[in-house]
Amino acid sequence: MTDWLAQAADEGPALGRALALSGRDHDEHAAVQAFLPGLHGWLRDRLPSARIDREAMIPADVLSSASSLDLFGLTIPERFGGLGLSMSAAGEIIAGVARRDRSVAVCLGLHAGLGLRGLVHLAREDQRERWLPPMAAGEYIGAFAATEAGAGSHIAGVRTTARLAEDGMLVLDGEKIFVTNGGFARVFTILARTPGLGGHRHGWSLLLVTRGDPGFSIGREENKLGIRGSSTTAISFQGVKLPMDRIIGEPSGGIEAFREVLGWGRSLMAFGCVGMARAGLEMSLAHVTNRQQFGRPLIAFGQVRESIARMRLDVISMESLARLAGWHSARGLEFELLASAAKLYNSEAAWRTADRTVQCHGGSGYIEETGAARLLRDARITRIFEGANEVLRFRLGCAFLDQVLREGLTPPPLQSPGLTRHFAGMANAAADIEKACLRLKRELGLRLYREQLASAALGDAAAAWLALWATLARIDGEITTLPAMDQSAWLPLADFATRCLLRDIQDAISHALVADEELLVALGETPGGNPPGSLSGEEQIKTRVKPQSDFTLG
Amino acid sequence: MQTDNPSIEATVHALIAELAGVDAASIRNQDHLMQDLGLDSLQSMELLSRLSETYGVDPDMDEVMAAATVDAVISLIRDILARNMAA
Repeated sequence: MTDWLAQAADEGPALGRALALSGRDHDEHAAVQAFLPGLHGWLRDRLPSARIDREAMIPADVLSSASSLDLFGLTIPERFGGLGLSMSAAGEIIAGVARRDRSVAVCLGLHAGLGLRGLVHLAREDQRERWLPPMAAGEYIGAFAATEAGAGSHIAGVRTTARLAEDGMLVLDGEKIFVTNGGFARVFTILARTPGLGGHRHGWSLLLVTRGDPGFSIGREENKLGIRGSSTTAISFQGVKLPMDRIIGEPSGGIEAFREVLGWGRSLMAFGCVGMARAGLEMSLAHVTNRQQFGRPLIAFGQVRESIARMRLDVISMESLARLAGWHSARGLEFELLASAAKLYNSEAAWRTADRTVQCHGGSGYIEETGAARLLRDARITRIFEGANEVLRFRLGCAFLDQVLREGLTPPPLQSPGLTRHFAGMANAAADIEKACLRLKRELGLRLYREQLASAALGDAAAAWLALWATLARIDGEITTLPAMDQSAWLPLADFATRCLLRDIQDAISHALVADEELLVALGETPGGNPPGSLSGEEQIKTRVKPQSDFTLG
Repeated sequence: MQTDNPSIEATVHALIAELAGVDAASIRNQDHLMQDLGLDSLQSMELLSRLSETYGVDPDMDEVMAAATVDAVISLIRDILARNMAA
């Protein structure tokens, strides 16, 4: 059993109850719930969302009023002037902002996650004392820069380099692109090559660069499809001289540090996706209950009802999966794999929900004024930034396969008698995934690590299985803390979650087992149509896959 | 399939250079795949995957995971080829 599954099994029902909370424990949950009314008031009264999108900038008074609400200090320890919130609690607040405005949520989430995690978690005490108080107060806004023209997800391709000069200073040269908050941030955490530092000839380090450093310059604002109010710029360094105390963490420890920072960034982004999906659900629900067609409200029609049900499920499963990553982070457990799964699953679900929102609104969904179109535009980037989903799928699939082959996949038990069938479905799906992993290992061996299709499809299966586990564990927790008369509302959701996510898992397994890169190469060379004699995808699935995890209701 | 042992080192260097985006001439055998060359665990697996295809070998997963330096990768391929020859 994987380490994180073993830990979850040890916790038993406590995990489910924890996933029902917006924080690491009841005290933090209560603090978040007390914080939210003020946040909602600020969002309602002070955030001109349509104007932010139209003018493609966040007004200065929005940023200053966000400071007065402590929104720049969410993840900074209290002794440095912040709120000291856990990942889950900060994520709940980021989700609340994203429900109203994605540009502001991206600004705050980037600051709280990628922008600050290195300083909060890896920096020395003197560095924290110097930089964290003004960042908590919103005087200095944080940014993070890793991407370059030749290095997106391929970190080894980073060319920005800091060399140790004879005077003991680092001299930094290079350029970063797509830097969120770049237009107004003061403190930038960047990833650069640092050859020779820490005894490594080709090391990488996280460095702190500030807006005022001589030789540092900022490019023009990018004109984006969505999250138009957020700032995105290039930044460049020409002979920027930095003292050695601008290294965050260990010299040449940048690759390991990058993983930790990225895990936080992806997790908070996954929470932001929850807010987007919740906005879509609420907008859609309001529309389909009021809009009449054929003498009935739209919600009376089965297809609309199904769409709303899937949106409702998506919100709960996304939130549960993000909280699962937060739960592991709060206990100091390995959470990067769960963060990747949450980013992948939640961004796909946010996009799916935004698309359903437009569809539920019919023609008016295509008109900017309803807000559905803006939601769709805003949601699109989540599948790209902080790790393109294609890369995450492949990497998650490989990592999951390694763990499953080494330690198996056994879901931690659920407590509620009403969830017995659901647990059996989840356990059968785990068995199917194990068998698929064994078969792929036998048939492809190490080719799994260079051919992408099978591993990527396995990544989808992993994300859907983890979402199912998180959702059922959370429902288990909700049920065990509610009076009997209130428990029944959760069971239909458990039924629907199990049915939908088992289907997603089986689709992904089938895709993994029939993945045929050679066929795609042949198709690329065929001028239209399928090559003669090839089986359709459906025929291939019928001939090669026999799923065990059929789940029926009743 | 290649079986010429003296070329193993050059082949490993060339593949690492491609994956890590560095000049092959700058790679030394004592370099750590991650800390010196920036290859994470998945890229290291891809490296071994491509080498196993090149040399027609099937290394054990545990052996692959344990190969953390350039030298260890070269030794792994050489050892498997020698075992195969002896078998």
